[in-house]
Amino acid sequence: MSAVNMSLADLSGLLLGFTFTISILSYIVGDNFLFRLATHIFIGAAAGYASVVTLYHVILPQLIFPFLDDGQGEMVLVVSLLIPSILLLAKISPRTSKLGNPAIAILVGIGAAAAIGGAIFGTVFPQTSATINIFESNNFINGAILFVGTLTTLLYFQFSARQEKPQRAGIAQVSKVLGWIGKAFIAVTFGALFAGVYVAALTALIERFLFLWTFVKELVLPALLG
Amino acid sequence: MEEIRCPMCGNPNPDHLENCQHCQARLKPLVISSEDGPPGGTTDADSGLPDWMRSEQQDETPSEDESPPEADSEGDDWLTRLREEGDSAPVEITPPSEPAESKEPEDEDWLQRIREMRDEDVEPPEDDDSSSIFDGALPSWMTDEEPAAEKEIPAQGASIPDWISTSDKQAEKRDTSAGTDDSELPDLFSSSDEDEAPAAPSQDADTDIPDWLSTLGEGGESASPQVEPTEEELPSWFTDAQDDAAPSSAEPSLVIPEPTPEPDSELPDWLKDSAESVEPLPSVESTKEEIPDWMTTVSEEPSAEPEAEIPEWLLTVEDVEPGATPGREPADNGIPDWMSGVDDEDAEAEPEISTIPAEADPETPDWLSGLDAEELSWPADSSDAETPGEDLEPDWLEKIGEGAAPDLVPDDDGLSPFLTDDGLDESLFEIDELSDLLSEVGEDLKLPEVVEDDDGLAPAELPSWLEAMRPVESAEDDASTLDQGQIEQTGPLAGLSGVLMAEPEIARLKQTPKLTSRLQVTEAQKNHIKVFRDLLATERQAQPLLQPIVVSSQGLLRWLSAFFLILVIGLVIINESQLVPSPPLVSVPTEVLRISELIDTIASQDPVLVSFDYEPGTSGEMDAAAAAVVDHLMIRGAYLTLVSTAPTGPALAEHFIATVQAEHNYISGNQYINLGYVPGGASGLLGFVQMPQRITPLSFDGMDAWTTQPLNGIYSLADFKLVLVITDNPDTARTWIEQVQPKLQDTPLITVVSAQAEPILHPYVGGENAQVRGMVGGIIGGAAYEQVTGKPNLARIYWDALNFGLMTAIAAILIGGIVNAFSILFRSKDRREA
Amino acid sequence: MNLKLKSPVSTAIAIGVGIVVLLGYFFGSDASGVPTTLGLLRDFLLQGAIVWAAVAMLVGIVNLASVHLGKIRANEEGGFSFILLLSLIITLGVGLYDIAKTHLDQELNFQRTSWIFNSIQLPIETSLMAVLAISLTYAAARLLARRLNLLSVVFVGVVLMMLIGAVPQVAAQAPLVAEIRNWILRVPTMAGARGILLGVALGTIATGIRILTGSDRPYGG
Repeated sequence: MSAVNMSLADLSGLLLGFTFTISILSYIVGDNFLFRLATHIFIGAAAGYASVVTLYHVILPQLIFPFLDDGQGEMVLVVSLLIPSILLLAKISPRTSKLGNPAIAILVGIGAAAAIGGAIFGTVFPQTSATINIFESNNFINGAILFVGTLTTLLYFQFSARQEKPQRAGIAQVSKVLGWIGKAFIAVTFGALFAGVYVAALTALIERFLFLWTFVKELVLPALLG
Repeated sequence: MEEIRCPMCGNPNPDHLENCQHCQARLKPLVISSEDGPPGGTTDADSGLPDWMRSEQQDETPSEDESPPEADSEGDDWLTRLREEGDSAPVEITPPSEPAESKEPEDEDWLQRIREMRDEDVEPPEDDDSSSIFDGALPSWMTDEEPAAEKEIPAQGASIPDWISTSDKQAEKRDTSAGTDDSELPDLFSSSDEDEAPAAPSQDADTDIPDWLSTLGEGGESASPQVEPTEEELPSWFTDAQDDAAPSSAEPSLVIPEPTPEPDSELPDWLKDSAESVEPLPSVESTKEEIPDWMTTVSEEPSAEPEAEIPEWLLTVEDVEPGATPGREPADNGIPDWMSGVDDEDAEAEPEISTIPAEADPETPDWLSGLDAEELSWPADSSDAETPGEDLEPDWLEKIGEGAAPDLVPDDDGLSPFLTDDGLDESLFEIDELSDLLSEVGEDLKLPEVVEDDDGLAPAELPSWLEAMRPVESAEDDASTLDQGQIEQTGPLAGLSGVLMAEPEIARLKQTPKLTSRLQVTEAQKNHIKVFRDLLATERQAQPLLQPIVVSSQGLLRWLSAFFLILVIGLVIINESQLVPSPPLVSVPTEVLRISELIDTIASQDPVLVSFDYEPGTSGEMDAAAAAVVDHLMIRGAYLTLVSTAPTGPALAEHFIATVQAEHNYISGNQYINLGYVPGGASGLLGFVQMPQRITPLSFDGMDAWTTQPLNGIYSLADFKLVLVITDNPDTARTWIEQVQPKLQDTPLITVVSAQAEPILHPYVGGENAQVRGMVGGIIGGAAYEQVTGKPNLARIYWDALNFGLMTAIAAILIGGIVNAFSILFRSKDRREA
Repeated sequence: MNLKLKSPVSTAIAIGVGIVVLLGYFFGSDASGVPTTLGLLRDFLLQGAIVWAAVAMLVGIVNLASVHLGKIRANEEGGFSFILLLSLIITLGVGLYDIAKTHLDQELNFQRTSWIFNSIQLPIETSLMAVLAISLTYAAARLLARRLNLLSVVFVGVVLMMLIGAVPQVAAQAPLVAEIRNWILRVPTMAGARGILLGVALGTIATGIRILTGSDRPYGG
């Protein structure tokens, strides 16, 4: 990367990126004007970009371009898609908001069905099968830990959900112990997740510092040192 | 079997029972217990009950509407109805008796019994004027009003107290108390103190003197206007009434039952006046402010001994001009309009009352006749009833004295005793259970017009005299039962225990609309409010920092950790250190190795679907993690088909191809194609799996994506050689696994995920039968994959910084943990010492 | 079951389309893989879901703009709201221009919009993630100070072990530590993760069934 070989657009882009990076990192010393300015610009740009992508990748090819074609069947399909879309647009105004409820209902119904199907065929069946066959791919100790951990974690969810139901003292005690074991497994899992989040964030910090150093090394220092 | 509905609890009972089998209330009044059934022939189980009692059973909820009663207003208590009738119909007393027979035969039940009882017990009056048993019961002004009616209904005129009759005929009418039987009188009709009662009718012995009447009797100067004075016994209040109008209202309130039906045209002037003045309904407040002097006197001298001396007002009766009935208006010399009207237009007043049916005796209820004899003592009773307490403020007196029907609708800000607990004027509360009731009934008399319901039923059916009669009795009975026994002894309600106790409840219920309109705050609630306010006040106060030193140490910890982390990473990056060794190949996870093996099977131009489903925020990590894998694919010459379920995904993909893998010079349409953005989450992915061509017809750069090689041979995602999902979100990865993987058949699904998603996705990763055949997790996995391919990439650049950054972070966490642990120990120690 | 049909039309629609899509998993195509009528209807609904989700996103963006427009009118941090709207409008304008250029002049790759993305959105969002690293360091140091019990100790211990095992030099020089990290990641963590995944899946099924039976109506019914 060299300023000499860069276009003005690339150069200004890097400068903007450098400026915004510094502005955001300034939050380390506390909330400030630069940070707020950068975040508001970011939100606006992100919303605008999402609008453009949505228009370009979905609305135009699915709703607009088919009108330009002559296909009668396409026209019927597009009109069928257009009506709920118009109803959804009614959600913009609070006065007409209720008109959009049926379209939202369609979205929710489809989403719920897709989620059910995916959960059943993508998680419940395969993971249950994997749990049942857990000793085939692991030694006994690891298999036992995996088996107990999976069941107790699941029981912890169920235990907390059915806590209100009266139980016999013995069952309640067993459930409590199993639930506590499940909670311990969840704590281990969340600890691993936290470590992963930290590594991801640290990688992002490294990437930003690398960007800053590259910018300084390639553009600022040559400019300062002549 | 015929049933009798209990007037108290409303439950049906066999008609042979005397008392309710549910509440033990007497079902049949003692007075009429031996009488026959209803003459009207009504077979209704409730026919034996008066309308007002039935309505009470039907609905105890008072009407919120103070407007004239409507057809469905039967749920209101009888008092409300009377008020409303009075409000809306200032003139008409009641229709003639014919509706009583034709439309409300149920009323005739008890009426008939009373009549018959009266026939048995009391001699029918022979002389309209003198022998009327009502003569002593009704104030004379009432008798004056109804000369015409007297001809037809002998008892009626007699019921009007003499003292009120200002014409010359007063003396003749007022004292016909002989032959009265107090034992048959309602309590309130009975004299409280026969010795002292100045009024002739009240001299009869009364064994049923209620406590409150006794109290009244002790009140000495109770100065009740109900006393039926002879001309020479006109009470002082009567003279005082020239300045204060209120006292006169006593009579109307008690006279209510007596103004039995008479022709409308015969309404006396005072009634006319009152009726006219009804229209500008004065509020309760205004009437309260106008307590007559005599009432003030009463309240100031509650302990006056009544027994030994005749009240002053009685002594001054003689001095009082007969026609000088109390009046409010000084301009009228203290004589209210209605009184002056009586004075001047006696003869004219009579026909106006004559709206009362003129059918004479047959239509006159016998029980009224029976009451005639009894009511000789009534005025005295009522006078006693006037002054039960010190602050007795007989609203009804004031209101009627003003010649105007008071607003039956209590003002919202009124001083009604039923309003609130704490805002209650106690003095009002003490008296007004009686006085308000009576006053309102009295107002009804002054506004006797009965509004016909829409269906023309209720008001027209009941004889006005009957309708007017009952409430007064009930009110009085109620008043008496407040202090006395529970069982009524005489009158139409005789024998009904609890009946009268229900009346105040009705009266209260009647006021509930007003209650609902304002906040009732009890003492307990006030306390709660105070506690809550105190709590809020303390919340608003800034709490002093208990451990300022700890807070500063936390701040220092934060600053130090940030400083060292930035310093270390900055130094490593500036030094461009490459000292830290890459992970050894032996430690590369199997799922990483499996990816390499799968990619090694990819031939040139084999279509590979690559999902860039991560956010720009994690692009640093994801680029480093995916760089080696994508590089491997590009090395293999795979045709990359890029897609994303995130709006920023297509741009990130383009950025990745253009920057991270710039060395491969992949050109859109030739080596890769960007299908763009697929919205909808799981639904969108499911649709994309089912019909990728329809969902993403165009590429990121506007090309017809599915006509290019090799995508023209792709009909479903299973036709791809490999599906690679690059994501930072475990939910997105799960969605891909759940929605796409089951449709892929033999096509392997591999993932490059962020370190933050790796732990949760491990269960999906496994061998040949696993849903995810291989996974690279975060920068560490990327570095491992670089070791597998033997080609350093982006992960290697970050590696040293990651190494020292992690070390610094671990040190910060450990040091911070130790500091905080010590701070906790010290804090707990200080607390223990404190 | 608590069925409240406040909005029967929307409820019926949600239930109907949901059942069609769900049945499409089983009867969407015949044995030869040709889509059945139910499968065609399911495909139409899935295509519609994509379109309508896109429209819903646009509605959300319009709502965002209107909210900030209202803030400008109410003068509540109107300066930042104005900047946000300006940024949105500029990006949208540039994007529409790029769309027009792409389809009219066959100009590829959304150059101007991509410049905005790479120069503004990407650095800002990555920097926000970087700031998170600082915050997480402090948060991890404060973990035990906030709550000290066995589970929190387990949590912090796992965090430290995972981080220490991730340090390249430690992994290189103390393989046992790396092995422990791998074991934690592959045995107890995977057990907990599997339980969580199953729990989430079951919860998803339960929620979906509630929606498909009309018990839950998150669409305003």
